[in-house]
Amino acid sequence: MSLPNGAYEALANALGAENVCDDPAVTSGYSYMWLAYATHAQSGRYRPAAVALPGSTQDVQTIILLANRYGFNYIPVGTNLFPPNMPTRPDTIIIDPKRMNRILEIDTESMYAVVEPYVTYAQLQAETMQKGLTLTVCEGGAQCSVIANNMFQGMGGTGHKFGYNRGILGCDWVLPNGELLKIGSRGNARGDWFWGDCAGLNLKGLLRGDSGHCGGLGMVTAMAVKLFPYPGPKAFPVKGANPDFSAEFPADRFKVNLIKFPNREQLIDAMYEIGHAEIGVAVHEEPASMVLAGESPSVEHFWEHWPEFKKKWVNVLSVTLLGFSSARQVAYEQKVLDAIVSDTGGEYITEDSELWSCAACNLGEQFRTGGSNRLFRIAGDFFVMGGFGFDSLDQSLKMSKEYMWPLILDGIEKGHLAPDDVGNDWLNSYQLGHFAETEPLIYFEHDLAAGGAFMNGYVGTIIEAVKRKMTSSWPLGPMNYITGPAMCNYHELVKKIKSALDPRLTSNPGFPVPPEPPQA
Amino acid sequence: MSTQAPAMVDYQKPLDDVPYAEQRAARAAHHGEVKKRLESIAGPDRVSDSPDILARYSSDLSLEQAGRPAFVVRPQDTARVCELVRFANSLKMPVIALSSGTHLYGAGLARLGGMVLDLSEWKNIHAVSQRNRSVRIAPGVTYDQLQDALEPQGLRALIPLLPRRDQSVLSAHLEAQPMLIPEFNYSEPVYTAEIVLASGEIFRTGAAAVAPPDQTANDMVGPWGPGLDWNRLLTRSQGTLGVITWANIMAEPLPLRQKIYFTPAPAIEPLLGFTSRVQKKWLGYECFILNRANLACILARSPQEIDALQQSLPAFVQVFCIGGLARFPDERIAWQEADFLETSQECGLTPRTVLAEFPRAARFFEKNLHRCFPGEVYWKDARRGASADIFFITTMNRVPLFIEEMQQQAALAGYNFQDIGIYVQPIENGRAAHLEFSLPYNPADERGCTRMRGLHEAASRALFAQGALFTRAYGTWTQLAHGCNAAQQQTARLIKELLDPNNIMNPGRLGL
Ligand SMILES: Cc1cc2nc3c(=O)[nH]c(=O)nc-3n(C[C@H](O)[C@H](O)[C@H](O)COP(=O)(O)OP(=O)(O)OC[C@H]3O[C@@H](n4cnc5c(N)ncnc54)[C@H](O)[C@@H]3O)c2cc1C
Repeated sequence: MSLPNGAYEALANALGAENVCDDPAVTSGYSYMWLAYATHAQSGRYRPAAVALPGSTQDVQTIILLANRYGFNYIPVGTNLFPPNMPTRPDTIIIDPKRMNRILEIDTESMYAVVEPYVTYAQLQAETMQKGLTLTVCEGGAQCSVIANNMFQGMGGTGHKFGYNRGILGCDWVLPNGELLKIGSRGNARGDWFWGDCAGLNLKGLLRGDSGHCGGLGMVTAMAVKLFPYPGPKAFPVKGANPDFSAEFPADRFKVNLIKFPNREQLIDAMYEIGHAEIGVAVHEEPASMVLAGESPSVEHFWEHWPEFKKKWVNVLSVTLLGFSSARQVAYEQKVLDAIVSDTGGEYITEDSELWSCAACNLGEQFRTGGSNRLFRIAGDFFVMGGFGFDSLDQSLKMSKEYMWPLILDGIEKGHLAPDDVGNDWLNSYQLGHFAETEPLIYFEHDLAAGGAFMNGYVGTIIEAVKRKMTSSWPLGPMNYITGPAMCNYHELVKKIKSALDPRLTSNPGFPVPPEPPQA
Repeated sequence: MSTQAPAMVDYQKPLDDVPYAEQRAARAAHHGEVKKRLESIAGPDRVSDSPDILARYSSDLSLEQAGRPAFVVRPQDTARVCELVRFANSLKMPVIALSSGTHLYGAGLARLGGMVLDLSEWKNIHAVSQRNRSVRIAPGVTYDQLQDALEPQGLRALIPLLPRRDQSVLSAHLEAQPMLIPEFNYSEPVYTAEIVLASGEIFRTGAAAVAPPDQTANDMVGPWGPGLDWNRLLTRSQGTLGVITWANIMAEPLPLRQKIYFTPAPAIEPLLGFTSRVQKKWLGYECFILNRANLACILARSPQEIDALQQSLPAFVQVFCIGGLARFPDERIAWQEADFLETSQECGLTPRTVLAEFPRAARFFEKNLHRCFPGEVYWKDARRGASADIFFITTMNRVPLFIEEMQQQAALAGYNFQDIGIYVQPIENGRAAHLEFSLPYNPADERGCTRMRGLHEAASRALFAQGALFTRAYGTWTQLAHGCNAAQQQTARLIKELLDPNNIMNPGRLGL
């Protein structure tokens, strides 16, 4: 776990001794990962050799140059939520951007903000709302790094209107050779931030595709992200404290609708119609477990109410309308929605009902998410049994029904997964329903057996998708060896790009695709 | 000092011991062999090396240096494209794929010779999905053809400003031409695509990767991946990464009714502010600003009419269209109209449904906003026969600065600024703007062409220095852009070398 001779001193000299640390008391904190293949049971086994805290782009360049010189590996992280951040090789340091937490600019005219890697959604959104702008906050939580999430997922509550994977504008990107690559308008004569495309090959295409390079191609040190108009209050209008809170937005401009359907097919028809009518900012199928977990003050409360709740909360669609322009927009969109609900056989959950009160925080969640953190409480661990495979709304439903839920039911039967057999997903419309993805949520104990079962299930969804020539769940790292051969051998191209840009494989070595397939 | 002795040169021994006649014969034989092989792949009537055909492909409507291909091949299907590319690769022969009938910016000129693959005859509209708002098209599909196919299904394709009749829809999308509707959710309208790589292998992007269209079980509308973002790499790559054989693109709901407003102004500033505000309110569909020079070229019934018409038109006009979709179309128009007019009042402007100075404008745009330019002579060519365009991306608030710079450059070159067409297309709800200057010139006047070349280059340089972002890097714009972003160019080269080690795909473009 130690670094090559001289490397630690070089890092300390370059960054200042206070900004590098190899004390196990600190590095152990970076070895914990919630997903099962490296649970707390294994803490310490994947401890990084050191943690480095750069304060600037130049510092990051220095770290990467030192990594190349001394031959150690590094993993750039954001706020450190996701599994690819776990070192799996010795001689690996974490580049933790905690000191790079500045919002460099908010341009209200051209609707973008420039941030450093440790700026979180909550931090940025609090500032942009002051200026009548917002952005889509990822459902992984507003505590995530804006940069990390834009490079990795970027799927937020308001993705129906504010899009998905379209947030990145100009960037400063330190490549694995230590060079600074300026993306988009950063490369023009003025070094502007406002646009993500540039002359010549659009290298923004390497920053991410579906799941991005996961720190495998260097580190982005500053990014301009897209902002969107927001006609709401300057401060997030929250009342109460987690989990008993609600967000009260001006009713003439913001309107949540919860609609129950007899089956998922009709719910999907409604989603299509909403897309075709181009109304709404947030359109999701909301599974019962997510809603109840959101409002439960304790695990006990959840499990006590679950048997009854899951019978009542079935096939529910949440549609948030927003009047960007005026109250007239909301009135018109509501009228259109009423017609769609009537045509597709839906039924509104009324505001005076018990079900509505459970989802009181729904509107707030669409704009600033904290919900996913609450989902961990139900059983210890939670994730999705496959998902994120972007294609049409119809495909999302098909994937869910044909192979994701059979795998979940199997896991429940074997006792690995908590008994949520309702069969609804968190199924999301993006960009006015042009595409969609689905996430069947599952809950499991924080132990290796359950975690292993989840992992096998997740990989199982990929195998099934490929077999059926359907869109697959996102493959991470080694899983690309399952999808690659079935998908035009893209993994070979990605591997070539990795070895061209990072010939020593020092930048999060196993990502985006490891050099060798995993051992069977 | 080096101690190495210089190589001895034997001045007696001829360097070239093969007789010239033999050399010529060998060259002709080689050409014949290549042609034969191309014919065996594509079919004898599909390969041409006749001088008049090659001449047709040697230049385009740009001022770029001509480039003569050795062959023009019109393959019939993807399998043949793969084989042709494999063969070209074995010879390191350049491959330049073309989809449109008219070529504008020099990107399709065979600077290093080689083979032009003309796909403009590929007119198949493979599949339309009303439910998923998608249409899968072959490279040669043109706008009027596509709109005719989509309209009965209640859909329309995204379209740039009054394109030429032979403009390929696929190239317009892959070249990221600015579309008339700045709606954020219509931006980046390519879902998935198929590309023949330099190796001759087929690659498909996004949700199409998992199987060919006839075997896939999905709808091929997921645009990302697999792995990295191939769609973004392919967009604006000018054929340097491969030959695109189809693309599945967005087809948007066709409004049942539409209402067009013209907002005139004596200067551009108030219109820019107004447009930004309207866009941030997410109102309307088509929205753009034209100056009187462009409007006159578009609206004049004959080239002779242009000057007089131009005199009578307002200096700048914003064209704005509200559409009513299937559900409550009139009410949709009504609320948007109310908000639009309210905003115009805040800005002190007066939108009108009729352009008082030229009432026929309303009818013209009503009919043609979704269509190719209907006139016999293309509107940009109407004034002098051709137009040298300078276009780039900037922000809405910096547009006046660039117009001023263009004016100065025109003055320096002794060019009449009043003739220059100005087109401002907001992008993504006004987050940015496409700004386009069209400089008419007479292509038959050689000296005029030389002068125009000089002005075009000087103005491009000056605009670049002010921050113009040439995202569609044609001609000298590539060098300008790379001059201040070396790491971009080095990295792009690495990627190009990986995907096309022999650099056969449109070599020389994008500085690659
Ligand atoms: C339970 C759960 C639910 C989630 N749901 C959603 C969701 O609905 N929508 C959504 O969008 N996301 C979701 N996520 C994903 C998560 O939010 C993203 O992974 C996000 O990136 C995490 O932010 P972070 O700051 O912790 O990033 P990290 O975990 O620190 O980093 C994520 C990845 O990006 C790389 N990286 C980080 N910073 C940089 C940089 N500056 N340069 C180069 N590479 C870098 C890292 O190496 C790592 O591979 C979910 C995650 C969890 C755990």
